[in-house]
Amino acid sequence: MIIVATAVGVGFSTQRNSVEAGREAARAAMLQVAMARPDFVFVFATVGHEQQALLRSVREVTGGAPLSGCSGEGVITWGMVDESNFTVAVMAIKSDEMRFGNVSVNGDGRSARQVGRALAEETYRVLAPDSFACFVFADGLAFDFEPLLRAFEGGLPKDQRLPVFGGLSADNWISRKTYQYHNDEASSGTVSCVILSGTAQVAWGVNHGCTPVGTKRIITRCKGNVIYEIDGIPALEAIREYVEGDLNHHWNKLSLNLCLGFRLPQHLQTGYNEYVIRYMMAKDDRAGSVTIQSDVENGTELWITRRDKELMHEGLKSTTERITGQMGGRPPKFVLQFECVGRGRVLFREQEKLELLTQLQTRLGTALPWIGFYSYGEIAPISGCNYLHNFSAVVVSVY
Amino acid sequence: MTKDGSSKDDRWSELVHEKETLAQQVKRLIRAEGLLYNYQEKLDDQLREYQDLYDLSKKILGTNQLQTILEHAVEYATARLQYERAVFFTRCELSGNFVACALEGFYNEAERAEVRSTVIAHDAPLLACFIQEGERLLQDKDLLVCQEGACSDLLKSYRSVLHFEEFLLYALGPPSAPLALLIVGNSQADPSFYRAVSAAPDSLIGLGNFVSLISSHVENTILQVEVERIRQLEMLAERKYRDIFENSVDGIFRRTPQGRYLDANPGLARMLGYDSPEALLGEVYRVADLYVRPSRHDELVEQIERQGFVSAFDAELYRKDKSVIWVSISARAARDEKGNISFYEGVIEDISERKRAEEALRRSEQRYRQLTETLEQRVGETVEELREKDRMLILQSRLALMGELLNNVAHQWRQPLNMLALLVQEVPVIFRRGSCDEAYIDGTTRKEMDIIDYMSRTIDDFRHFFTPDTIKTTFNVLENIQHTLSLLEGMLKACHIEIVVKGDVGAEVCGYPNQFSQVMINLLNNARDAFERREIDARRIEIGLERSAGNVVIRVADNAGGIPEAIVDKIFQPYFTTKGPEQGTGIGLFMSKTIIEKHMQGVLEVRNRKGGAEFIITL
Repeated sequence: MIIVATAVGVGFSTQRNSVEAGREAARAAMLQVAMARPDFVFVFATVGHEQQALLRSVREVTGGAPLSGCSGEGVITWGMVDESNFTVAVMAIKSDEMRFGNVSVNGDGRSARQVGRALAEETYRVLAPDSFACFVFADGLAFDFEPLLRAFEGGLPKDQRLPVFGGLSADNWISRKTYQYHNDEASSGTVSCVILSGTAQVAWGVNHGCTPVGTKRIITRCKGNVIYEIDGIPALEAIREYVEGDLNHHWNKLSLNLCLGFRLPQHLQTGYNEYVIRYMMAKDDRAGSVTIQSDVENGTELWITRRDKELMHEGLKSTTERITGQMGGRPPKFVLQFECVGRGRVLFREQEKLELLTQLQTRLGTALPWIGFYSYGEIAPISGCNYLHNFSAVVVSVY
Repeated sequence: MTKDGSSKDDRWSELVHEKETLAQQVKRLIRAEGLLYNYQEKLDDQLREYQDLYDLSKKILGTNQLQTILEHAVEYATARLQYERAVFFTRCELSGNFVACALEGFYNEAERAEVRSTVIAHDAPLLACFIQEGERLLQDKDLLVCQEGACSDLLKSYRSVLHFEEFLLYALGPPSAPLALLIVGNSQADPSFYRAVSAAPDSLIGLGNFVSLISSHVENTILQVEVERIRQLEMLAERKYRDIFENSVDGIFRRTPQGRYLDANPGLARMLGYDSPEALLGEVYRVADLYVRPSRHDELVEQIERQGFVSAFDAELYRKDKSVIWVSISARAARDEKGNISFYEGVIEDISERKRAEEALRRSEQRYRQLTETLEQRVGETVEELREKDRMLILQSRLALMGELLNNVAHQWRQPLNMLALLVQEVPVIFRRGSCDEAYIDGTTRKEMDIIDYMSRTIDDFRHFFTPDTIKTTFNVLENIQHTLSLLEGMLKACHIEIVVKGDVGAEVCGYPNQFSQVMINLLNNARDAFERREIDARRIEIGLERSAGNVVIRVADNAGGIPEAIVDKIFQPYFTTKGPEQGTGIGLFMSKTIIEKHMQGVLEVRNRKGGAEFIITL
């Protein structure tokens, strides 16, 4: 009789010495399950670290196992959330029921769609008939991700389209440079991707917990992912009414207090929400425009929305219910969580955040191998369609 | 129209207004919510900081190892306060220099080694910054800031040494004499992922709290380390003391003010004749009982109470066998925190041998003193005898001189007496002749009275000569010599001695004129005796006066053959004479020298010249 098993260990470090931090987190991950050499490694870290040195030390400890991941605004493990500038989490996986194929594509000045297609081409090489999930970690500052995602999906054979999960890499509100990890390389302007194949399955849930304030607004002028006018007035002017203080100072944080909601088609609302939320990642004072992470068209309806803590609690509860429902009583082998930066320390107090995480985690199991990061955008399918989300929590259970 | 009379337009306007109002309220609420989250994040940061500070406090309270505390501190400064680097320097007790003890954030080995080996000298100008106006932050005497655009050249000079581009430097302990230095900062200015160095009060709150927490711990621990070092020294001293205590020949003790020994060393037990310190402590209930004279014990206690100590306090103590020893006690009062005397402690030295030696010396000194006193008495008596003899000599001298002078009086009177006799014998003859008239009587009487007056003056002169001088007076030397010669006139004529006096007629000296005359008489009589003894034919005495170098020099030279060289040094000794017992007493020249040299502070010398002797008086 062949025993099919998956061993997963997670370690983290808050050391500031990047080399030591990488070693410590990787060793902790491997020691947790007495693993000699993992098959695959997920790494999420914050940008205070010297990224290349960090990866090198992780690779040194993990014996050069394939590695994917990215920089986040913070990292998440079981019972631990750390949004400091110096933190790293490592998940080491050894499995004889799963295979991991990882690829990376550099933007190289190409359009988002071109990058998406290039990613599809690369990914195709590692796709297998039993591939069951795709994890993508893309530069949150370099790409208009929605078109990239569409091009990626479109580039894959229709019968091999996979649920895509992941997040856009972050840089702790500096908005200067994020990193994507692929084996030995910590690069910017790239997309890192992992294909999971084998007999395991994924269950997931996604929820944002935002609610509209006010009435419907109409985009009256836009181009791609840049909105110039709302209801005939400059978009920035329409937004300014809701924002306290100088918009030039910490725009990325000020704009968190309100976000733009776009009504989903009826068939996509199932198990999700009426609206998909977009974060205004940039603004242009001269043009009076704001930039979001998906393309829109003139005449698109939008709603100014705000984050609601109660809805978030409820959303996480329904997420876990959905996941446990999908798993049918089987336990997760490991869990990945992609959480919006807007749901971290800028919204929740430390204790609240930890309680929320604990509730989420304990609903799915006990001492689960759990890893995640705070992202500039979350990726998860809703109603069978891969989607980019903002202000959301994406929880993916591999079981 | 509606039921209440208002038109649909009015109602619409109300609803629009209401909607607008609600929209504004929502916007305000969202703005407020944004602010709330903002404040909440700051509050959370502060709470986390306090929590971290609390955790740090627990860590450092859990150890008394300075190194561990410093390592926790630099770790906190980097991991929690988010500075890139931190380094702690502590002061070396021996040199006073500051050495790096704990570092964090130096991940380049070369940089780490360089900072680790950095020494900030005790007299480095950097340290002076803490007490110099303008260098430190105005409100923080213990903080220096080095950041771009706000940093002195002195502080900048430490950038490359310590590998900081911007830093804050805290002095722990008194700014004028810090115990430790904490430096936090960054290797790059305007860091993205580290806390920027800033002197703004808001930025310094966290660091200030941190420093406040650790400063007392670090200072206390440094002091504890120092106390421990001192304690070790004390233990060493205690061991040495115990070694001395056990092995000292002298007695060492502690006793209560009431007089009970608390502790005694073997030396004291031996000294007092006990087998062991325990035996001494067990058998001596009152220290005062050991004192031969209990009053000495009371004095000792009184001195200690009054001045806190006694030093070299001598006393006699009974030994166990009741024999007595002399001891020297040095002791002090040990007081408790309230100033009350806890006990006396001190050292007892057995000085019996010394006392015996002192007694022997004392007796020897007494004998010496008695001998000295006897000797002094005898010397006094002898001196008195000599004085008596001198007086007798002087008397003899004067009597001899008087005899000489009486001869001279006899010589002086012989002729007037003859004259007087002739005049008296002539009276009957004249009367018989009948020539005795009144004129004759008057003339004869006048002649006789003149003779009698002359004789009377002669007597007065001699009597005046024998009147002792009591007061020094200035007198003319020549006049004095001439007067003296007049006293000797008869003798000189009788002996056919020619006197020649020459020289300075105005020479005067201060002294005793009669005693000077006595000297001159002695010299002239000696010359006469020499003339007589040697039967010299042409007898001549020359008396010369001259003034030389402020002195008056009188030379008395004769031609009587001089003084034999063999005795020339002895002629001024008392009782030395060449004249034989019937003629000389041997005191004339002795007295002359005494008068000239002792009474008149002059010099009397003699030498032989041109067939005679020459006496030289220098006054």
